[in-house]
Amino acid sequence: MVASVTRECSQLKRGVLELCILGLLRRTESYAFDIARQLTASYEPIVVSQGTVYPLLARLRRAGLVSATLRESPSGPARKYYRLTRKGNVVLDELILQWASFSRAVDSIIEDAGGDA
Amino acid sequence: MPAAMRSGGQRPPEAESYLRRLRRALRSAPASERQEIVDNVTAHIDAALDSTTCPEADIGRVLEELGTVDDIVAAATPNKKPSSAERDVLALVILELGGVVVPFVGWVIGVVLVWSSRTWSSAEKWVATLIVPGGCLASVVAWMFLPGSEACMIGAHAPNGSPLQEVCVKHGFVTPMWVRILVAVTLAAVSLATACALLRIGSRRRSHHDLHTIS
Repeated sequence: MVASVTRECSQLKRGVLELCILGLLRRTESYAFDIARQLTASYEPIVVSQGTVYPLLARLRRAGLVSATLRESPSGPARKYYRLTRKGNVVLDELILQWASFSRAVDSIIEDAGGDA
Repeated sequence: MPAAMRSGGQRPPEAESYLRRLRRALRSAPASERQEIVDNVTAHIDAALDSTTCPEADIGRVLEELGTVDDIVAAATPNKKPSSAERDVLALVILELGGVVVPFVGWVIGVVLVWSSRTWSSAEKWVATLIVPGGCLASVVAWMFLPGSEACMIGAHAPNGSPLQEVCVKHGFVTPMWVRILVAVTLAAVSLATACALLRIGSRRRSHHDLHTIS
């Protein structure tokens, strides 16, 4: 049972990851390493394995939602910076709306169940 | 394109081995994505190691935080919906028997159908193509062309004029009948077993996909 809950949880997190990356990049452009670090730095990490962020970044770029630029770094080799494209902005707005109504629906269902736990 | 050298010196062997495995495992991902993923993971390892004082001691932790190569590959190809069972069965039937119905061309059509399926990995598609080339046609060809079948004909040209004398001519090395049967049956069996294995993989992948898709 616990294993199955953990698996469903990681599936859910993976689905939400796209929303989080786009959300991070709306605030400011970031380089890949920094994006991965921010997603694991919070109290409840969004991703467990930082490496799984990179395939998603590559896919978002291929879908035209983010763009990448190679820029010199003050220390070490050049870094690839990602930023939201106009298309990415539109998709993010849509995802935020969907997420809000989805989480409201989930909240309203589990609110009553919470008391029994 | 090989990854550039780390600014702080050489990467520990564990890191190089991890990157090699990642490159290999991502072979079926689109080329542009593959390069980008490998570049970013390489930059990640380098940046993480540059911020520590003892890269050799910390590489284990850095790779653990990155996740396994399988984790990254799974994220690179998530929830790819396998092709339908009917389509895959058709592809395998044509792969096996197409060449017998329309020699060679039928098998090529089967190969094209197998390679355009979303169900199998590249490695599995290579196995389907190469074991056995031609499908069941290989078995028929082996039967027909193994040397030494006797050439027999009814002796219309028998010199003494006696009617219906059968003349059989053997030339060169003669393959015993049991060898010909063994080769033909083995080729057909191996080819069909490969197709069955691919069918099983496909059905497992379809049920796995249905179980894990939240849509």
